Amino acid sequence: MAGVWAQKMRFRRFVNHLRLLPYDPTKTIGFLICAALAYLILAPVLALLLDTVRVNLRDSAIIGLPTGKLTTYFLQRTFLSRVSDVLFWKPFWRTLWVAGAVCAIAIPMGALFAWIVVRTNLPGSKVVSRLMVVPYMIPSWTFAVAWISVFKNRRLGGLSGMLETMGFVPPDWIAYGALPIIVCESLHVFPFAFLLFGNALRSVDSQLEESARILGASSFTISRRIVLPLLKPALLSSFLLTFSRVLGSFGTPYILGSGVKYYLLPTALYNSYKVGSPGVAAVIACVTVLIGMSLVALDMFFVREYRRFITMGGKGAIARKHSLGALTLPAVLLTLIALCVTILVPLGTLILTTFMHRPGLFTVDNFTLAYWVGTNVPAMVGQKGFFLNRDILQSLQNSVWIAGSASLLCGLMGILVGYVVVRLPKSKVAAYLRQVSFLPYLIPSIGFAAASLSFFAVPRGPIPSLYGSMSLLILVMSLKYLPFASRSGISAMMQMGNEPEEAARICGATWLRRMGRIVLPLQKHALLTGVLLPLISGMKEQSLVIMLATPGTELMTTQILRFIDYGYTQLANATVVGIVGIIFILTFSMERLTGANLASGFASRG
Amino acid sequence: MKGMNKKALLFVLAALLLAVSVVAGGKQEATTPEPQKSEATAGKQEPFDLQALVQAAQKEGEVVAYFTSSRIKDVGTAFEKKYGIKVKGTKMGDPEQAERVIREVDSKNVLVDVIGFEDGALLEGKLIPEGYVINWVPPDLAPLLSPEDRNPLVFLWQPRIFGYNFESYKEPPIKNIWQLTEPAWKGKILIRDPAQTPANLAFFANIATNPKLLEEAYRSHYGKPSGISEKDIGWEFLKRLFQNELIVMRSDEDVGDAVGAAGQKEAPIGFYTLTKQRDNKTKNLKLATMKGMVPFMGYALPTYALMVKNCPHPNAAKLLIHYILSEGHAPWTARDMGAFSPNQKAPPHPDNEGSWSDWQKRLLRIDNRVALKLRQDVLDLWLEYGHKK
Repeated sequence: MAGVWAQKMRFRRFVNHLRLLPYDPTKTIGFLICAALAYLILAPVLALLLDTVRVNLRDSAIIGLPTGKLTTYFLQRTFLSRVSDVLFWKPFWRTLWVAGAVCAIAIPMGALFAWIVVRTNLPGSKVVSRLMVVPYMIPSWTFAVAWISVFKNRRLGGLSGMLETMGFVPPDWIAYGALPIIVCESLHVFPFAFLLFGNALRSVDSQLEESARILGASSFTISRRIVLPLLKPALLSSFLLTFSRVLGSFGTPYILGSGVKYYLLPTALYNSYKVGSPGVAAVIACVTVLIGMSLVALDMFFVREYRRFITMGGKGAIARKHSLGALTLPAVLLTLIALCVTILVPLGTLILTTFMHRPGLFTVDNFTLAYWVGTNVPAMVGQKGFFLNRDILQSLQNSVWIAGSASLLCGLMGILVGYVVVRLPKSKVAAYLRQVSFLPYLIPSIGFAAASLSFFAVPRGPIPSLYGSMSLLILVMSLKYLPFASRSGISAMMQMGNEPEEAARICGATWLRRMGRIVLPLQKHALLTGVLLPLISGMKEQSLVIMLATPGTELMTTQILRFIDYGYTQLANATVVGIVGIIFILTFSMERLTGANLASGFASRG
Repeated sequence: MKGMNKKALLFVLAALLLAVSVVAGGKQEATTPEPQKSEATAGKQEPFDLQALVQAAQKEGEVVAYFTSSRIKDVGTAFEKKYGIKVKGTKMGDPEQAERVIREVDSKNVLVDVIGFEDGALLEGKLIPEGYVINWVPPDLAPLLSPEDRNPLVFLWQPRIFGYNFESYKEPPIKNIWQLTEPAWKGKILIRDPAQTPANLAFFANIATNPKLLEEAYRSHYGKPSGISEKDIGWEFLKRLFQNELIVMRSDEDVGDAVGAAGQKEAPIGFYTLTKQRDNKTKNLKLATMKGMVPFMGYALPTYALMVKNCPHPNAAKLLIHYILSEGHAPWTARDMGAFSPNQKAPPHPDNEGSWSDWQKRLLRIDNRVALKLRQDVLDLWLEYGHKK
């Protein structure tokens, strides 16, 4: 009797639940998102792991094992065979060396300028501090494209570089390989250290230094015992994040390294995939994922460790500025040189080359508009100038469409994740969502792409094979940027109380109506940021999409690499200029629309 | 060297064993009829009606093609003009084509109809035997094709050859293939990256299996026998070649540009398709072929045209193949020099330095089965020795 009653009650509760679903579906939505993210993020990573020990389609013809068979062949080939040196170990050590060298250049450079801008009376330091972020805003491979336009020599064939045209042939070690990769990456990532150190320096109370001085400490002791320890978290963070950036960047080593067989992990992975051994590519991808995860884990560990230091106390802090005095002129000059080298020279070179038949030959008849508006570009069969070029326009359309849809999707998911996490505090769902939505951040782009490619290339349940489709690019991009969107979603929802929604619910509004009329309008600011930031990142994304883009779904960033491969220097450069222009416009309008400072936006550890 | 060769032999044996077991194991479940045979015999028995094919194709309205050459776009324009059928042609490399075809057929969502493909080893080793693509020879044109060009169907032959800069050198600087391994040419030989060019790997694999030619060439160059055993000489040659710091480029276009650029002293030599010599006119290059090179100047690079299994526009696909073999090859063969149609009626370009049969004597013909078997070994040898500094 009691059992029947309990059953009845359970049934009634269930019916009740269903009736209430339109009014309070938070839990249901939470579960749905959990399931979706597990499927979209966790499953591909597991599939990637499986790919390292299972014979892939394309491998089967070459190694003579049937598709789907379990094997240690790929692991052996990558780590222990006579070719593992070339396939894995060399790229591995080189990646460590390049990343280390970039840190050694970029971090002191960023720290120095942060100190100059924050702690001295440098004239125009506000403008400088905004301009210093620009190199990080423009895509990383811009520097590589500019470099190759200047330093390219005979070795790569095609159009010669500017210097060679002017009569000076740069040796290989200047034109390609470690040196240019390190320089280009450093120029791109130093703003990162600049921002982190800038923030840290701003929060260091100069009264600490003054007290020390009053107590008789030398300036060496002050910097060693007070300033440096306080900057340690910034130093560690910029080291780890700079490192992981280099680990994830594809374009620069591809453009500057391939010609001399100087491969880093991302290019080695791509190569193995292109050559037709997806198994080895999966092994390398797993290694990059592992390194990426440990770097971020280390960073999070240190950040937590150093929370204990409170630099902003209750007392008013004073950030006194050092007077540069006689050093004003050198400091200004140094700053100007840095800005020239990191912004003016690369962009100027790129723009200049697009107006020249042979870049570097300064004669009147060598200048042309053909690469922008020409209907038939000399020496490039079937190609037209930038504004008439079908490949470029198509890729522009694809880029806008893919990055646009991905950022919209991403922003919406972010708000939803935020909603669920905040409305179901302390639940398992919330904890899980926080973690899973952050997971893509730990995985280097190219590894994430490899995982998604192998998982979604075959039909799975209701999802058809997405190989070579636009939806795959959109999906992968929106997942990769989800960590930022969900974080901003969570923090935005935290600030919104329950009351407006409860009031609406009492008046009988369904959940959808509440979302549409209350939550989203109130969060439009967060939503806008959550959409625009991924949009900007998406427009310049290359590492993530290089393995996914196929003829027909080519993006502007991948189209550049095709042009470089064909030796169509001017068209490649024009496309780069186009993307940089678009990014400037987007960033500017974002600042206008949201009032957010771009510096603070980009400091969010992207 | 000996150890290596043993390894190679073992590998071949293992591969053979596995291949046999795969074929044997696969037979029970291979319920799909062998399409290529039935197609071929059907073609012979039934009278071929081009008009009917045209009508059926026009009903389908369009055809999708992936080709290794960008000129598929020009072919498409001419095809559309003639038949009113739109061609969606895309330039795509071999690995990507293979990937796409396999993915599309496996997911039963085939988008492409025809492929223009250069990786004969993968074609004969996997795509045709496992039924991913279908070899269809237009019955009315079959008599004009030599039998070995029909299976799989070749629509374009190109010599890929060693060439030099005639402004830099008065006569061909390489007369014997063994010269390529000598210190004089260290770091001065340009080639499209073998790791990314299956056909170049196939060429090297076929060098390894032609010991007699290599031994003869050695004797004529050095005036004495090599003293290397027959089974090793091919691999030894490849090893020495790879150790001679070949310079890798992304395309034959780049190789041709770098070799042929005017005003060079002691220009590098290169390995590229003969068609690049057309740029002597448009880009003022100074390219010439290594005339008289012993035992061969390069190899005959075929491009195959095949239908994809369960393709959405089968008739239009057949018509496109028919067109490319009958007159549609013009964008490759007639407009510029350097490429040949296997159709014996097609006139060769006047700049071609001879007919296709003349060229065949100067070139190594690739055996796709050899290429399939040894490709991984050649790749590994290249990775091992070609990447050392």
